[in-house]
Amino acid sequence: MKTNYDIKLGVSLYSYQDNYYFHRHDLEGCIAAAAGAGAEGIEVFSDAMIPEWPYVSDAWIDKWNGWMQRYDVEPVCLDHFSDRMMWHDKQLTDEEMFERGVMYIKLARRLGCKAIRVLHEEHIGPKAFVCKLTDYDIIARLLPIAAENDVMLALEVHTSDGVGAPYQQKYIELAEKTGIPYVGLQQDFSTFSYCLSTADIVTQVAESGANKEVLMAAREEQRKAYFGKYDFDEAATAALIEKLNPSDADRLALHSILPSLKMPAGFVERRPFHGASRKAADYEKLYKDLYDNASKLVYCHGKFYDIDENGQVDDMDYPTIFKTLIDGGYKGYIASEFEGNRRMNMAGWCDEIEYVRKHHKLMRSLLGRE
Amino acid sequence: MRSRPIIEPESLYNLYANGNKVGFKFQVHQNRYRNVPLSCIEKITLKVDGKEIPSNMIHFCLGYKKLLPHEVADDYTDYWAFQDTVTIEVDQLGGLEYGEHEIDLYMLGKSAYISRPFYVTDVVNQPHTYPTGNIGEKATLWVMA
Repeated sequence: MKTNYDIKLGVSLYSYQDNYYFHRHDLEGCIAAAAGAGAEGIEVFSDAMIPEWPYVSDAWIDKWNGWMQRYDVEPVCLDHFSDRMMWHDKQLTDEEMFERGVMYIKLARRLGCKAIRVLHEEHIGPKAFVCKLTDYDIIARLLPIAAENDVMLALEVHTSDGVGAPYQQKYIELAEKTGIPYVGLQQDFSTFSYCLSTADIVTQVAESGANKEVLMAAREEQRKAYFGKYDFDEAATAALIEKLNPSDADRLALHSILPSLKMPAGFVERRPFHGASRKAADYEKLYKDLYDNASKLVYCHGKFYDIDENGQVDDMDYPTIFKTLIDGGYKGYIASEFEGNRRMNMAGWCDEIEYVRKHHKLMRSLLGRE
Repeated sequence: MRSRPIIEPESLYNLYANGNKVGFKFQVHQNRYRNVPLSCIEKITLKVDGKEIPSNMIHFCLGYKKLLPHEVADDYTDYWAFQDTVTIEVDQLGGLEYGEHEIDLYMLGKSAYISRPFYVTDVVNQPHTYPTGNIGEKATLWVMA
């Protein structure tokens, strides 16, 4: 359903990946599900859901356009990946990465998408990967191609320090410096996750036999700290958990938020949850940066893993995120990106379609539309 | 991870040529969330009923392609689509006896972009080889024909 709102709502078809994987819904079914949730924009889960990938025929594009008309939705974004390691014996060169970037831009144009979601080098932080992804120099080379094709390079920011970090801001400066406004930042809401998601707890309970009550107790301490606007006391929480006689599975499940908890023998260090070390002041800065950059953002991923009994996203403060975006002057799409499926499907079927419907209902209410 | 079996149940069949059993086949799902470039599949091994099948008897069949395990990684253009199965064919004169058989398939796959040392903890510090996408499992299947 098309609207004239400044902030429009869409769905990344990534949200329906299990429906697609298990052949419950084909691509048209996923588009219909998005439209049914109330979306007006569709983000295409590129290689996974375009059957002719990467050599897409005009006949398939015609079919795609037909679906857009039939369900009264519009194509918004095509997902770009930085597959530098797609060959077993050599990494793609920068030239080859550039060529693949061009391929995504041209396909986005053919699909009618006004943006590609770019997995840029710093999308989860500087030097977070073993191989270099699509870095600043490649983005700079892609910029004129993006302008020629009228396709925005939307650089997805998942990092714990958000869109205000200097290593993200350099891309906004690139657009300003070159006078080619075809690169910008895309905020993924996972940046604002403040506690262990219940989706992760479902997984841990199903996979490792962890005790739900123990995990929920630790999560509750994180929530209290966030909403009480005080610093999460990791050591005190670890001590509290010790009193609950945690099993080895509980300890392993909580390591990402309680690094000081004693781990079982043979444990290998893992990456901490980014909210574990964040202070109350860090959240203030994150929201300030979001406000300051809102009018410059080119796209948003409404990431979510689970929705609680009150219809709220269980580990992100959507009311504050939305208010900040509105007050900051954001204009553009917010696309639902449900990722709880990948976390909860060990425990059984996860109803992605219903989750996205609930998510859209929440987003509409936060935008004052119902 | 999905709770779905990687080896498709009820997909084990003998292969026939000129009325003789010449091998068997079964179908396999991938467990990633995207298409897997074939070049990312670096190793395929198979045991049936505890016995290792020689590599040159195993065929990875995708569309019109029928590749030996070592040829899969040298395919630089094709993808194993997210929702599709591949067929594993095995040359074995006489095929499999009617009844249950234990299939133990292992594929070592790496992610094309998101490989991070912390993702698979037992192979930290081995960039470019850590298996973020192991595809494989043991399954007991009944020969369908």
